[in-house]
Amino acid sequence: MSLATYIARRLGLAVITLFGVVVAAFLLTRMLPGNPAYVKAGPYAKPEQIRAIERQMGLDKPLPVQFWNYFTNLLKGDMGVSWSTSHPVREDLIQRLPATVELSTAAFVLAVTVGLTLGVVAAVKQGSVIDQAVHLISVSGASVALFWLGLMLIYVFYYKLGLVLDPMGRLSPLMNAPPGPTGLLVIDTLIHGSFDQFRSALGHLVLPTVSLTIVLAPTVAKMARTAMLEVLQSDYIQTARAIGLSTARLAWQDALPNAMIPILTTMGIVLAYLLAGNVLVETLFAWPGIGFYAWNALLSNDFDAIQGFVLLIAILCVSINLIIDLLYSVVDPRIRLG
Amino acid sequence: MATTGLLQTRDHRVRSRLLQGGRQVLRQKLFYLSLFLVVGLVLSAVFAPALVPYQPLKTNPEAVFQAPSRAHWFGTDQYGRDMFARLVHAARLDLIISFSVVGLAFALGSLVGAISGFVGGLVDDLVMRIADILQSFPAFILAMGMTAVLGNSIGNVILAIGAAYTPYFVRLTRGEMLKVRQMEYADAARCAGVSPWRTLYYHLLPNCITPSLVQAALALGWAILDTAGLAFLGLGICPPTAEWGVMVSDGAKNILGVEWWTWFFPGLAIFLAVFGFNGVAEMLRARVLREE
Repeated sequence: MSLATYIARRLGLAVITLFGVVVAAFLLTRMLPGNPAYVKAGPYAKPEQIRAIERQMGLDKPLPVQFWNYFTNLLKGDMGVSWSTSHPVREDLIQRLPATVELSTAAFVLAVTVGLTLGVVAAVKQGSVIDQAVHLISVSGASVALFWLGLMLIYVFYYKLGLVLDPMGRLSPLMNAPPGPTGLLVIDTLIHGSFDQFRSALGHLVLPTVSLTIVLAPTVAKMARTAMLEVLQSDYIQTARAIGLSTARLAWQDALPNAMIPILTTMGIVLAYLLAGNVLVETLFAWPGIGFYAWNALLSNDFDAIQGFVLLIAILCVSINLIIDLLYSVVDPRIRLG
Repeated sequence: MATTGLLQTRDHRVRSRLLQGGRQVLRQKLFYLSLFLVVGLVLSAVFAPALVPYQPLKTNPEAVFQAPSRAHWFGTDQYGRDMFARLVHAARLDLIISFSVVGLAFALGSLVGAISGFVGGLVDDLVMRIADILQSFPAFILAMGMTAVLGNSIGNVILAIGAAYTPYFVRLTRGEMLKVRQMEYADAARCAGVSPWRTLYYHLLPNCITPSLVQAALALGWAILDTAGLAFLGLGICPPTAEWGVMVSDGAKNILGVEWWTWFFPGLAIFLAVFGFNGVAEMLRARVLREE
């Protein structure tokens, strides 16, 4: 199969999945025991008011018609209106996305760096104290509740030691966010040359990033170790060892590239976990991203906003999986032939 | 030179085998620790609530925010409720939820996966596409959306998380079924005139569930984490119910205060319980791999 055919087929599959995701997101709100109009009208509404809201929301029409309306609106980029912020959900999400991207990117980069290093070292020094420590860390990291870990970090590093800034939001209360261009405060503040704000932005980023990293890095480490062990046992590595190449060169240059496929898979899992874990971390640290927005929507039964958030997360996950699948064939050309 | 090189290689192999043994020992220790944790958890969930002299919901205005002491082992919270009583009642609730979630996902997922793999064709394609779609959502987000829509109750939490985990079991069992149905004993059963459904149920299904069992042990831990996560967001299980996530969330209000025991112990309980299930799953996986 040529690369073009492979990409086309993979894209087609992603489109089908995306359509299914939209159907699932639509059906999600239609599982309601009553219907959204009851919730929207509030507990003291008269029956005729509820009818009016049903008509206004199009809930009096048959289900397929409702879906068609929802779907065509979605294609136009209309995800409905959040009634707690009274803005279109799309605008709300776009406005809050940079905060989430900033936090997720920082956590992803840190988790992958730490995880890969631990995993490779553990594999090279198989059975040593380091290896055993990595094993213990990876089981522990997979067992800890993210929000509890965040609480412990706040307690120790903010309340007890006073080493970090107040764990609320992205900047200190009296500071204004710089106007663009990226929406990532750590970068924007540097562009505008305001170093006080830069320090504040970085200071607020530390604890949420570290919380996510502690939970995620062990997963990467575990996978990297397994993949590396397999490669390290192969003949060409034994040969390279016999020739006398240094262990460091052997591990990082010769073995790691061939261990990349399972590691890529893990990166996909890590990204998906980041998207889910964001809700908890952003809620705990009042980080004004889409996860925090979703939490506020949950508290106020803001269904359009919840639906929009869930849909956005699923779209992101499908895209990530697509990109990773395409990367497989870059890393290992044999895959697209299969 | 050549001789030393050879010697070094051999030496290296011996060393590596010895070192592998080191990790083996650690794994063994971890397994016993995890087993101890799981057994302890189950025992305290079953018996402890009856042995603790306090009620989990009983408030006591005269004993608010008491530090851990002989009377209150893990202190009291902002309403003077005994933390230890709440912890062990929560253990019972969280275990019931966790086992129900996994039971639901395991039963439904294995059945659907086995049939899908056995029947093949259009049915299989359809089931796999649906699994794809459900797995496009991170499990926690799917459970969150479903709980938000279904409403807060223990049953709905079980339903939501269980549904979110089902695709994992569908996929695993289907994969095994594709292997197993080509085995000679499957042919033998068919040649002997055994009906397809009987073959599926008695001959093939029992040989498909091993990977799902490992997954189930892992999922028991995830279910505790996800239930607590939902509760922390104010979804599913709500105050004043004694549940670990609810308790951490309650205690988090005192994070900038001296009452560390209100949020520390419930989170520790989650950690120990999930660690136990993860350790057991790890050992099961190692054993399954060795048999293969």
